Amino acid sequence: MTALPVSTVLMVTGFGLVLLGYSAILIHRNILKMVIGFSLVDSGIAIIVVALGYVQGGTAPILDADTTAATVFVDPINAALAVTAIVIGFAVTAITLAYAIRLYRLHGTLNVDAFTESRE
Amino acid sequence: MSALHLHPLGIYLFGLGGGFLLPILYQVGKRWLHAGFVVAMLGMTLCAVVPALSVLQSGETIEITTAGALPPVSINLRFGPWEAAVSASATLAAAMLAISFWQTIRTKYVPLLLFLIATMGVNGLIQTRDLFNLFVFLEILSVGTYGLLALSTSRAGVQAAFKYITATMVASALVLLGAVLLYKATGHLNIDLLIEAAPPLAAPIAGTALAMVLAGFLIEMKPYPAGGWGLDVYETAPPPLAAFLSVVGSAGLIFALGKLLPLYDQALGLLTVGAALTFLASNLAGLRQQNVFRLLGYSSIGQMALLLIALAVLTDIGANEVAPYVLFGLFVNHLLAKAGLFCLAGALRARRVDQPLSLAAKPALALLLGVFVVAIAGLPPFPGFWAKWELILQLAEAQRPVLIGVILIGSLFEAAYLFRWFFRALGPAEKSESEEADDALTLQDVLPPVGFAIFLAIGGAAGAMASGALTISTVLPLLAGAALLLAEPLPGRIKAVAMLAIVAAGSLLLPRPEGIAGLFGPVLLAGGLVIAFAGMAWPGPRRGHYPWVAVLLLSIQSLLAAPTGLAFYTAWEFVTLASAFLIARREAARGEALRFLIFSLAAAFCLMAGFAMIAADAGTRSIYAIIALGSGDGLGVALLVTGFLIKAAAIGVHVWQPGAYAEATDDVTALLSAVVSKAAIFGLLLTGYLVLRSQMEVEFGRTLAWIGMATTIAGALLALRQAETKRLLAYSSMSQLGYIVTAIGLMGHLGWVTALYLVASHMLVKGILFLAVAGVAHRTGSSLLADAGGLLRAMPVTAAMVAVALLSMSGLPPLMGFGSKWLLLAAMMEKGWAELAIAGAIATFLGLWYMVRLFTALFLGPPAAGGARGEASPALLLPQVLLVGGILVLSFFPKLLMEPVSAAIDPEFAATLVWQGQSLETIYGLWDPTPMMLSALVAVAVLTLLWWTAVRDRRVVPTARAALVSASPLPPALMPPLAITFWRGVTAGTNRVADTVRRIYTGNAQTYVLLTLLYFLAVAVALPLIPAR
Amino acid sequence: MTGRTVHLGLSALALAGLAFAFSRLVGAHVEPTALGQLAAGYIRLSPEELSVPNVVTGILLAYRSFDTLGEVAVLYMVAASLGPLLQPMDNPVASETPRLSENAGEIIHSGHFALLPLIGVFGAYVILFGHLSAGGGFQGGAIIATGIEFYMIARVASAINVKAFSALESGVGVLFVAVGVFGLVFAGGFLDPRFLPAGELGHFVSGGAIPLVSLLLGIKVAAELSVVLERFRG
Repeated sequence: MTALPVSTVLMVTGFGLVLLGYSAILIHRNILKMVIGFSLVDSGIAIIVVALGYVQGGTAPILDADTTAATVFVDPINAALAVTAIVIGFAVTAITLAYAIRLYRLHGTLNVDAFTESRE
Repeated sequence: MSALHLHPLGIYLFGLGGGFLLPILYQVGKRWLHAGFVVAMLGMTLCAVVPALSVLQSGETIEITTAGALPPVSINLRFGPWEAAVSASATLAAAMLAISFWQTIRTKYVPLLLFLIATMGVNGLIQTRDLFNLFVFLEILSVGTYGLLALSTSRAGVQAAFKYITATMVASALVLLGAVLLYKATGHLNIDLLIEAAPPLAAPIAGTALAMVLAGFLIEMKPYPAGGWGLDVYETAPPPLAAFLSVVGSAGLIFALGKLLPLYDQALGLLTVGAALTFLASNLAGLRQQNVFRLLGYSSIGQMALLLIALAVLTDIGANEVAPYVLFGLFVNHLLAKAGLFCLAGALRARRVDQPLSLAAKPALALLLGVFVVAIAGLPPFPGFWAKWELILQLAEAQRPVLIGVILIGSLFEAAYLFRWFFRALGPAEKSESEEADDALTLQDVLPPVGFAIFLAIGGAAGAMASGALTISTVLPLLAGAALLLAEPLPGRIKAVAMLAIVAAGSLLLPRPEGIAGLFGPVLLAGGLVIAFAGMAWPGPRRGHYPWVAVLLLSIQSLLAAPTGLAFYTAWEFVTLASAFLIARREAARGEALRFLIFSLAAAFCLMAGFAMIAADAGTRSIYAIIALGSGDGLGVALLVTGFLIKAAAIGVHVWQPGAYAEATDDVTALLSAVVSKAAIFGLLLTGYLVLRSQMEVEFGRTLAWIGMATTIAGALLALRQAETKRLLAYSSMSQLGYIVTAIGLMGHLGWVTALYLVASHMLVKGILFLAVAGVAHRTGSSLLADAGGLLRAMPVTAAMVAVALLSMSGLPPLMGFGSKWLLLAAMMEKGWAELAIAGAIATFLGLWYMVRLFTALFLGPPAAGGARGEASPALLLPQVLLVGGILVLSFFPKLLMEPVSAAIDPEFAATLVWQGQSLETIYGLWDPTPMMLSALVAVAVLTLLWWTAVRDRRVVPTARAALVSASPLPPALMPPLAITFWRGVTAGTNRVADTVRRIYTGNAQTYVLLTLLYFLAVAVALPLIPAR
Repeated sequence: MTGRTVHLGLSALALAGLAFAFSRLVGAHVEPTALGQLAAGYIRLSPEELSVPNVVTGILLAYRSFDTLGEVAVLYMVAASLGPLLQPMDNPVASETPRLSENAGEIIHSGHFALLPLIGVFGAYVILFGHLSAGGGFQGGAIIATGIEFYMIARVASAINVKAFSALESGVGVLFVAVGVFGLVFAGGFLDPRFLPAGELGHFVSGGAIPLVSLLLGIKVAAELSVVLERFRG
């Protein structure tokens, strides 16, 4: 049996991180852990985005002296999308953390079960 | 291409450039900051609106490329007619909301720049043609929202923001992953190319990717059961921000979903089902909601779901011609009305639904709130009404009766909770004066709602024009109402005269009804004017009374002359609204007004569904469409009949009527009973007549006749039990309308002549009676039978009027009531419905009984303590005298009525029905009425004798009188309040379901994340299961 | 059954469902042996049209620069929002988190003198040579921000001038939009970098306005990230 393709390994890793993230979000009641969960999801997605752009035997899509007509590149679009996704993920994580701090200041707790004032 | 022209690209330049500049301007000075914001917001709005106008005019799409390259290499934007219309209205709404928001956001630069960039994000969602760019704009809108939510500093507000963020993060992660996977599967990010590639829903990668994108955008629209986080934010955010999310944000989201819809053309059914669930569940849950803003949130989510239903269904059935009109109508209606509601509720500091806001004392604000509530409820004349009508017709054409049911039931719930709030808000608030002073509204509070209302009116006119309903029949009643609204500062009596003049003059301008309607027209107009004249008896300005009376009376004329189902229905809804608002003018009547309105809307929605189904089957939207119906399918007709029966207060659905009649102002009650109730009768008669002329083989005459008769008997029995004059008369009204329904149920010439005769008779009689008891109540200060008595001396004229009315109504000769009852019995015998005739005789006896009881209680016996201080006011008496005149004239010269009746009915029959060539007089003489006449005369003699003794001998009568007044025809145990118990049960059951529906929203962020993930899984499971077509 | 049990049960179901959906994706994934049409197009176009050998930079700063502008906006909004969000509240229950010791420790303190210049140079290199080799404005900006974070850790008492940084990021943002407009007026469209000469492929001064955009982006990202970090520092 041949080894798993590298992109498959990456995808498994990425999706694994996403699942891990959602498990944290669904199971941990501490909202900081939930935020970490979201962060894991973001990282997982970034890995998946990059993995999806991999081409067998490909190299980074930067033309240099070694580039020949036979050089195989990985998909540059995925790299570009990953950059955007990472930046947005960072931004959203920052703002979520800020809200976690706000919630803590207002309630003295980080337990998500305490934050159910509006309901039904 | 130059940036100097107003080009949609300017939206991004002003949005981002302005957003980046604001912090620098803030350092320079606050004035600079404010000027910068205003310039940027204005620039954005102009760059959206001005090009939109030219695009809509020319129909030419503006394609915007970036980076100097063509798509798919670069990201491109599109500004076609659809994008133009939605972008322009959303940006304009955002600019108007900024005014409302100003007080909250002006002090710092952060909210200002967030607002600016978020608005730009919505435009990006609308215009971009690149899937990944769509994700970026989704994030711009989301992050802008997250930042703006920092303005909610309450505990619940911060919690809500956190929940909002977690749920939308799940949604945007799905969109991101889906977009990248779609690129992997198809090689495209450009939406047009993606659509061309048509990735299969069942493929492992493409299918999952499509499910992710779809679920992501659906979740953003807060579907049931994955939308609780949105509600929390609507509840806690500053109202202008909630409005922004509800209308501007949603506009971008639904447009984004809409442009991706071609990818899901096999999943439209799934979308429809999901949206229908959301629509129904949101409006159901709204019924139990006490917080005003959460209520508006439920309504918002419901409205967006309705838009999604329309989007999916119209795409599915390929109704491309009407789609823009329906979708934009629904969209703009929600946009303007919901924005207005949020702003106004915020300005009024509304908190709880049952909290009175003293709006009755602030008529301009009441009007404003009324406009928005009416618009959201999908009632005329606002754009949502025209759109919904067309949508229902399209659904009927596409054979989707279940969906029609879902939409109408959901709409009924929505109307119920919004109007409940509205009527409560009218009530006087318990506030000290200093608090009142704090509540003084600023220009920023009022300006945006006024603007939204004006746009709604313009949109309504445009919608009417597009649906061909912008006719004098629709416009004139409103113009008359508006004119009288402007005259509100004048004294009451001058307004009364002005109203009568306007209605009289207006009726001349309206198209003349023909045929049967031609008979109803003058009778109801004359009766309406005479009864409305009684308004002079009420002193004071009577704010809000005369405009609605004018709308009411003129709309009835429009209704009678309506050439199409839409024209009829529009006028019908005007009548409903005018009646409800007239009832609600009395504070004590508002509960009843709500009940009246809910039943009326239920009736109206039955009519709408009925019309739609008939129009779809018949292939014409004429009011006479029934004629073109083939055999079979009687559902449409059944719905029409049900609707009319509800409004005619038939047994079982009569529960709205007695309370409304009893609690409304006296002259309003007289109008409702004498005039307005005849609109339902007209509809029923017209339906029956058209069915007979069609090829249909439905036999509903006998059922109808029995329903009518049961109503008559039940009404009479209930009338006998009443202790209050107006309630007694209300049940009497129910009973008498039952006769008319029975007559219509005879489904033949004789029955209908009778029905028309009864219509005139009932109008005259009930007009007199309600005005007479109004006079009594004015003089004695009570409407209880027990409090009156011996008024004969003090109020002889009123007594005489009542006597004539009673005699006429009781079916005693020689007055016109006799003629009508006789005709009815004759018609029943002719049909061979002897049981019905016997029941009719019993009912007549019961009618006589309660009428005698009323008369005895009021006028005979010893004068009650307190007593009357004199005769009723001339303003009340004059209409009564005129109506009595009408009775006498028609009694002694029946030809005056009979000939037009014949003329109206006969020619309409001539075409299709073989009529036996008998003239009416021969039918009238078919049976010899002499024995009946004689026995009746004996009864009258006995009654008269009784009366005289009563007046003469004051010692004997009191016991007999007391026995009569307090007598009950049946022990209460034999007359259980079945209808009331039933409707209470329905209400309780609905409330229980509503509570169950909303229990899923636990308020816990984890629950919401879980629900969003499950929602995605449900979509992912369902999507590939849909068979390819 | 308590609500928590139901929640956990359904969570397990949801996670199992996700796992199944993901495994289907992984199972269907076939590693491609060649680029798709669009990607291959970029590999050809970026050097040809833009004189930018780093295709990713070509995409980020030219062809999909509208995305980049959007993500800049996202980052900008977050940096701005953190101010009001992290401001002390009127009604707090919990007191502020305890301050760390004023002294960061000898190693870190001494280390930052040595490392900061290196980090700065590296960041600047990544920003400025982003069009030629691996790197770009975002990446370099992030590196510089790391340096600033290091500085904050090393000098606990120090304060970053948030006002100045905010003004910087705003001003650079305006310039970014202005560059976009330059593209609109002097080249093929909004955000087209070719209003400056393309230069020779592989040279430092090449790629039209792309190095300029990269620089703006680097400054902006560095400033924004620093503001974010400083806000959290309180």
